[in-house]
Amino acid sequence: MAGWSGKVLEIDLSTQTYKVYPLDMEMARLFIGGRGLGARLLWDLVGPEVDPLSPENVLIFTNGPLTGTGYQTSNRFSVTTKSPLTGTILDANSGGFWGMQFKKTGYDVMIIRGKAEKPVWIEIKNGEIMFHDASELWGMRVFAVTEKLGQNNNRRNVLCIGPAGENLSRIAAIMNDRERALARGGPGAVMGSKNLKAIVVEGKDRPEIVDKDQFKFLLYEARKSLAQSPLTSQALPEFGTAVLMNILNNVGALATRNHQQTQFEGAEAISGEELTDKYLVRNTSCWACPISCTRISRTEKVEGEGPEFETTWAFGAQCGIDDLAAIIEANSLCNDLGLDTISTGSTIACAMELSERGYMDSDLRFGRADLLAPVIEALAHRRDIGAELADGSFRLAAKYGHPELSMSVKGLEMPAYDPRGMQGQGLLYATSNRGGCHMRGNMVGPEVLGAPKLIDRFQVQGKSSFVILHQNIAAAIDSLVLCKFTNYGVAEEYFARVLSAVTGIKYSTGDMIRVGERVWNLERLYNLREGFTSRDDTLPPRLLNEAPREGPSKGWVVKLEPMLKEYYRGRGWDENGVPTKKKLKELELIDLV
Amino acid sequence: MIEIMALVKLYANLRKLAGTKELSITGASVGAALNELAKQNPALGAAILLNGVLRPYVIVTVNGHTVIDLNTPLAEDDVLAVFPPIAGGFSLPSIIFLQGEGGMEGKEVGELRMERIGEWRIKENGE
Repeated sequence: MAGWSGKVLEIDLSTQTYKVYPLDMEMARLFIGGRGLGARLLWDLVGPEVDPLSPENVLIFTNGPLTGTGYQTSNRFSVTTKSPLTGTILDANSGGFWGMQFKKTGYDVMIIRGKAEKPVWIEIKNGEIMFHDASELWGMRVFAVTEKLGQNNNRRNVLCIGPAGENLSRIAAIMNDRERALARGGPGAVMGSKNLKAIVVEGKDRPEIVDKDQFKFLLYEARKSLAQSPLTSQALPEFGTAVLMNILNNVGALATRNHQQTQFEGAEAISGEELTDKYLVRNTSCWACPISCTRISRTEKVEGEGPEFETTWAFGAQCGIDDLAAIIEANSLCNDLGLDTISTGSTIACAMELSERGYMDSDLRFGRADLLAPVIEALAHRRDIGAELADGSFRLAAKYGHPELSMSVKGLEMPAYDPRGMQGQGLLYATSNRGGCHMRGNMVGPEVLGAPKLIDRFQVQGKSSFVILHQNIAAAIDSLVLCKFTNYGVAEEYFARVLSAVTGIKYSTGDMIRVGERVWNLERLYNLREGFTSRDDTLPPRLLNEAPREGPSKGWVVKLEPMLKEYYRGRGWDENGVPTKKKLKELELIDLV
Repeated sequence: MIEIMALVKLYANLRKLAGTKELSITGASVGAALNELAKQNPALGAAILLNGVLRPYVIVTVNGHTVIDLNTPLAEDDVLAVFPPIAGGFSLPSIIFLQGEGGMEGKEVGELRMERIGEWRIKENGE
């Protein structure tokens, strides 16, 4: 066996016991690892009767056959669970170092069940599994816990929750390596509900590689490709992901003030260019990554990683704030408290609109940068106004009788791209299995950046084929688990070749995309089993009915219905969005239904 | 010939080459304005144009609408925005290429493949 370690570690927190058993290798062949393997395991382990915050929910940590091999960006790992925010299947993945170290402990999968009676932390060190009392750590913030438990990037890595996860905020993240996040959908609350504060990993195993010569060649080829791609060799290292701010604003696709507008007059002040000019200390990278897109930025108050584009947008344009220092500080605070920055920013923006319209009694108003830090602090501790914001924008807006003011899909707050200026992105959000998300595929390439080919961003007909392919490729990359930025320089053909070289199992490019399609369909089956229907494949009414009054997207709403019909057909689903038996048979999923 | 004065906004590393975020330039069309820009600042021009056409993945918009045809006429007060290829990249290195009405739906004719970085070709079915 190569690539995979072939072992599953299953921990029961209720009894503080564990067992180790072999990984089902047929399952591994079909779903690879990461998101795919996590989805397949969750299908068996967590049914519709399980409350996401009950001991019966599980956290499934997975790496992939490439993890830890040294292939570019082979540092990532994934967590899969039922989301307490959306009720859908959820996977979130993260970079840094922890994933590589987790692989070195000798496990492909770690399943966490049950609930500890008192707070605990788990240590996995050179084959030993230890449960430690976490009473002293409970209440501590992420940076302090990470340091106290001995974070050492290449040797010992800490994953933990902050106060937000302990207080069961449904937008709480799990943090690793201090400032990396398994961010979306509230996995931090699931960990908090289990009284699990941290997992520390330390290992010595090395993944076996079948064809070492071919692996080295592909490593060399990928390095060359990444060095030649303008995005991975220049834009991301020099300006970070926030380089997207100005172009999205320019074309009228930058959601602004809770999606009330599609252009922000303060975009330049919060752009990647401005971040680089005024706040960048240096850039750094995750393990085995030549791209180095991570920003280390500094203000008078904080110094740390980020902010990424989506974070800058969430606390910036979405909240009508053009104070980049305040945004950097809000990002750092969210990392320390263990919060998803997109959902936090967009929930605050929702509260700002509710307050401005007089539906909610608070001081929050668009542009109030001074309120960001105190509101985030209150949110993570469920104090004062924070108690109302802690469960995300949908529950907040619904409480005040205006759920339509939550800019979310299936309860998950959408990121920066306003789909009224990018029709395909609208379809992508509406059909995303974990809710409003840009990491399940992203149409910014073809619709705005012209990569690989510019398509009319307002066109509706034919968009579904691009969306489906993007979604399938994203699911495949998430199952390897690699960083999607590599795909800006390295074709998926390389992924198939490197997977074949490492595992000795022949995967073609088509096989890789088929894995992604299989994962997407399994996630769909999971959500259908949970009671979701095609009615949930929709967008906030604002995006369907309210056209921007000015800017390049003036007059446009998302024309979802025709795209959705075309999408279902293209997916091989029936008119209700249910995968047909023929499709499930083709994907080797028929035995599950 | 009517002289049109357009505002050109530059982004990312183009600002370093130009030494400014924006400048005014005359030109009756997008191509004329960019050629004028290249004449005034050859290094900036070389980052935008290659043999008189846009470099791959350079994005040019007029009033927020992406233009591909350099003959697109300019009107007074138009705002031309130029983003360097570093804002682009490859999100889909190989895609199924479909041709038909609208250019995106219809008969599958082949696969759009990246042969080398930045070089694309349609590999037709059966090839």
